[in-house]
Amino acid sequence: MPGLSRPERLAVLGTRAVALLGLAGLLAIALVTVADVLARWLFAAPFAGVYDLSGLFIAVALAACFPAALAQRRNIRVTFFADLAGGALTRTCDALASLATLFFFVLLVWQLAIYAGELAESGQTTFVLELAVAPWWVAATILFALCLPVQALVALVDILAIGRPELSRYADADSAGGA
Amino acid sequence: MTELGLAGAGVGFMFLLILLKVPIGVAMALAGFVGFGLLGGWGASLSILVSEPAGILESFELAVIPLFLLMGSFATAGGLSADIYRLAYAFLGNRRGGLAMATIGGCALFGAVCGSSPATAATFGRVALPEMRARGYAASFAAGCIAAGGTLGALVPPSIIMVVYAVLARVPILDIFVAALVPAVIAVALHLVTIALYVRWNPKAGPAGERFSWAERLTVLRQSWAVLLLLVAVIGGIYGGVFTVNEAAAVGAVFAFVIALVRGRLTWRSFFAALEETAGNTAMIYLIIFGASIFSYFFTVTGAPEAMVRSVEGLDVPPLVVIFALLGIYLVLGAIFETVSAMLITLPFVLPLVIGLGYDPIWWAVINVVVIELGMITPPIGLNVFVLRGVARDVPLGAIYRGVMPFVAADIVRLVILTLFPVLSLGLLAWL
Repeated sequence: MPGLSRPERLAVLGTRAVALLGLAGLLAIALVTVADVLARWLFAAPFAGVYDLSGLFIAVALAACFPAALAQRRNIRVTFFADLAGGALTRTCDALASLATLFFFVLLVWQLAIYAGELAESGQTTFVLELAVAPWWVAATILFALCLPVQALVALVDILAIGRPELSRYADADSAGGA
Repeated sequence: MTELGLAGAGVGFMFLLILLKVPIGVAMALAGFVGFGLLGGWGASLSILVSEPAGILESFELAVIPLFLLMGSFATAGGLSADIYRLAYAFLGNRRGGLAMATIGGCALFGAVCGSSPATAATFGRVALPEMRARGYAASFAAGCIAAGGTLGALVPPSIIMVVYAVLARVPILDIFVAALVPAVIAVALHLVTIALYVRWNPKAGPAGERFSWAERLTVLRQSWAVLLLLVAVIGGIYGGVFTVNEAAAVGAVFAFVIALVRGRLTWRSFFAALEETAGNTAMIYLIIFGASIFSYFFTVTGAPEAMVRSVEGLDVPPLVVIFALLGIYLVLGAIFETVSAMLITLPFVLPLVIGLGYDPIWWAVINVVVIELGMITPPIGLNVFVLRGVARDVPLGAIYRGVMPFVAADIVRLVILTLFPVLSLGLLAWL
C-alpha cells in the first residue's frame, strides 16, 4: 500500500487484537451461559447472576468490535449512485462519508463519556450481584474512543485520495453486504 | 417548518447522505440527530445520541446477534456446510435436478445455523457450485439456484433479521420464529417444485446423479451427527422450551465451536478468522441498529407515522391494495439495500401504517423478510447475485440472473399466497 500504509496497517492490527479479545470474552460468556442452562436443566440449580454478568460484558464485547470494523472500512453503504459519477467526485463522496462517520463517533463518544460519568456518580449496581455498572461503561467508552483516531486516519487517507487516486482504498472494496 | 415537513426533510436528508456513500447506520443517525435537534433542541438531541445506542448495547435480546453470527462462523469453519450438503444430496441427488434440490435443502438447513442470506449464498457458492458444475449442471441454473437458496438463510429461523425486527417492533422474538416456520417450508417446497419443472423443460440443465442405497444414506446420516445434533440442540431447545432464544444462541455458538474443535478443523488461524468475521459483521449490524433507533425516535416524535396512517385511511382504498403497494416499494428497496438496512430504513413509517390498517406485526415480520429477500435476487442489483458472482468469477452476471428468474417467479407466487392468507404465518402461532 502506498502513502500511509504503515499507520493504517498498525491500526488494522491493533484494532483486530482488541476485537478478538472482545469476541473471545463473548465466547467465554456463552460458555458460562451453557453451564448455567445445564445446571438449571439437569440439577434445577442455576448460577446466580449470569444475566447480570452477561448484560455488562456484552456491551464491552460489542464496543470492542467497532474500531476494527472502522479500520477495515467494513460499512454497509450504497455505492451504486455515487460511483456513477466516477473519478474525483466519487472520491470526494468517500471523504465526506468518512468525515460524517467521524463526526457521528465524536458525538457518540462524547455523550457516552458523560453517561459513564453519570453512572459513576449515581453508583448504580446490577440487580443480583450488585456489581458496579460504571466501570463497564467506562471500558465500553474507552473502546468506542479508540474509534476516533482510527476513523480520523481513514478520513485523512480518503481526503488525500481525492487528489491522489492511487491512495483510494475503495477501488474494489465497496460493500453493500451484511446480514 | 411544521413537524410533518421536518419529518419529510429528515427522510430526504437521510437518503441524500446514503446516496453520498455515507454508511447507512451513520446516515440514519445523523438525520435523526439533526431532525430532532431542530425539533426539540440540541441538548435533547444529544441525549438520544447516547440513550438509544446505550439501550441497544445493553439489550439482552439483541445480544443473540453476535452469538448467532459466531455459531455460523464456527459452523462454516467446522465444515458443517459440506456435511449438510452431502446429507441432502444422499436423499435427493438421484433425481433429475437432484443436486439443485440438495442445494435448496442444504441452504434451508444451513440457514438454521447461520441466519444470514448472503452468508448462506457465499457458503453454498463455495460448497455446491463446483459440485454442480462438475456433474454437468448449467452454470446459470446452478448459480441461480444457490443465489435463490441463500435467501432461505434469512427466512428459516433462527434468523438475525427477525431478531432485529422483533426488538425494534417490540414483539416477542420466539413468536416471529414460530410464524416463519410454515412460510419457510412453503419456500423450500416451491423452490423444489421450480427445480423439478425447470429440469423437465430443460433436462440438460440438471442431469440426475447416482442413487444412494438406504445403507449408504444411513451412513451419511451417521456421519452428519454433528450438524444434526446442533440443529436439534438449537431448534429443539428453543421450541421445546428448554431454553430461551438467547440461551439457544449461546448454546449454538459453543456447540459449533466444540464441533469444529473436536473435528480438528479449528486451527488458531480459522479460530481468529471466525472471531474477526463475527466482529466485523456485528459492528456493521449494530451501527445500522443505532441509526435506525435514533431516526425512529425522531420520526415518531414528529407524529408522521400517525399522519401517514390517517392519510392512507383517508384514501379509502382496501388495506390489501396498500399492502401490495408497499410490497412493490420493498422489491425496489431490496434490490438496492441489503436486508437489515432495507427493513430498518422503512420500519419507522411502515410498521405503524401496517398496524393501523389492522394487520398483525408478527405477520408483517414474515412478509417483510420474504419481500426484501426477494429483492436480493431481483435485477438490477440483487445482493445475493453479486455474492455468487464473487464466488464464480467465470459465470457472467447476466447468466446468473437468467438462472435465478424461475426462482423469482416462485417467490412472487409465495409472497402473494402469504399476503393473501395470513393464517399461513399466524396459524401455527395461534395453535401453539
